[in-house]
Amino acid sequence: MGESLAVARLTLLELSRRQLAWVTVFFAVVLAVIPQLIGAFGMTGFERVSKDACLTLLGWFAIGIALLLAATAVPGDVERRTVYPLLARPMSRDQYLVGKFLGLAAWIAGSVMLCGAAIALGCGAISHALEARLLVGAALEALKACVLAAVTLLFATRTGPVAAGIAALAVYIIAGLSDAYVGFFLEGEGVLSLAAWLVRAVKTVLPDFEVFHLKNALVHDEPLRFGYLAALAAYGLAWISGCLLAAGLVFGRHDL
Amino acid sequence: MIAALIVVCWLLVCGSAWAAAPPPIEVYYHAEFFSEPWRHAKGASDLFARTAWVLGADLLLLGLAVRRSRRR
Repeated sequence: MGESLAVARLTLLELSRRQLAWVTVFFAVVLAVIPQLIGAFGMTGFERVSKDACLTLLGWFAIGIALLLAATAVPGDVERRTVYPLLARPMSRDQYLVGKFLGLAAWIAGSVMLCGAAIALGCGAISHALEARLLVGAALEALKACVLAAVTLLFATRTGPVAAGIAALAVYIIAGLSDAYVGFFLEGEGVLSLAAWLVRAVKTVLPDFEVFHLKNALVHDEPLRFGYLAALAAYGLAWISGCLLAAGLVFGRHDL
Repeated sequence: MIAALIVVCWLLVCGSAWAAAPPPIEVYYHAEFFSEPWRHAKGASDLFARTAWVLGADLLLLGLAVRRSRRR
């Protein structure tokens, strides 16, 4: 555990040196300003539009940062040869991967929550109310990004950064394909298409990222059940642990 | 550590099932064009089933990892 935390600390240090924090701060400022711009129209109901737009942008930001950071994490260490002195120490490859993921997850969660706080601040300034529920939405976006980062890390243990990023993006897109699209494009009326069946089967074994999107519930002020949020947390953690275990098995066999 | 994470997941699943009944699907329903998958995705019972099979796969992977470490 201590070794993993040391790697996590190193990962955080490396990310802070890449000055990625400035990108997050810039994005947070943009997200805090957007509600003011939309609110400038002065029409009722535009608070919902601004919340919707900001949460959508936050989702894209979370996906982007997860793919970018996780795809370059392990291949970057191998390319710069910084992984060799680390693995020469009494530390297993699994511990290295867990530490790497913990560092990435801390950075991603911090960035997404900062942007979520900016949205809550911007929307709160319009509605003159504390928009703490938006932080729940941001936390779930952070969890979704961590799951995507774990999936990307799994690919990145075997391939290069570009291939890992593209593969993880493909997983994200296929897993998020709406049933309506599948039915419309792949199924005729009353005809069960093999392609549609195949897509649905693949979707079943991939992580369902759609469940983390509580945007509609948040925008329309619907109640959020604690049980459902806990179940979401379990679902996310289960996928993260599965991906890390699989990544450990793959990385363990990989000849560096 | 990952084994502990899996145990936490099981506890969360059982705890959430105990703490609150699955929310009615209508609660999350909106008459939007592509609302169907979203509405289904929010069905908590569906989420429990999905989590259960992922945790099952986790246990299998954990078994493989333990077997590999014992061989070494």
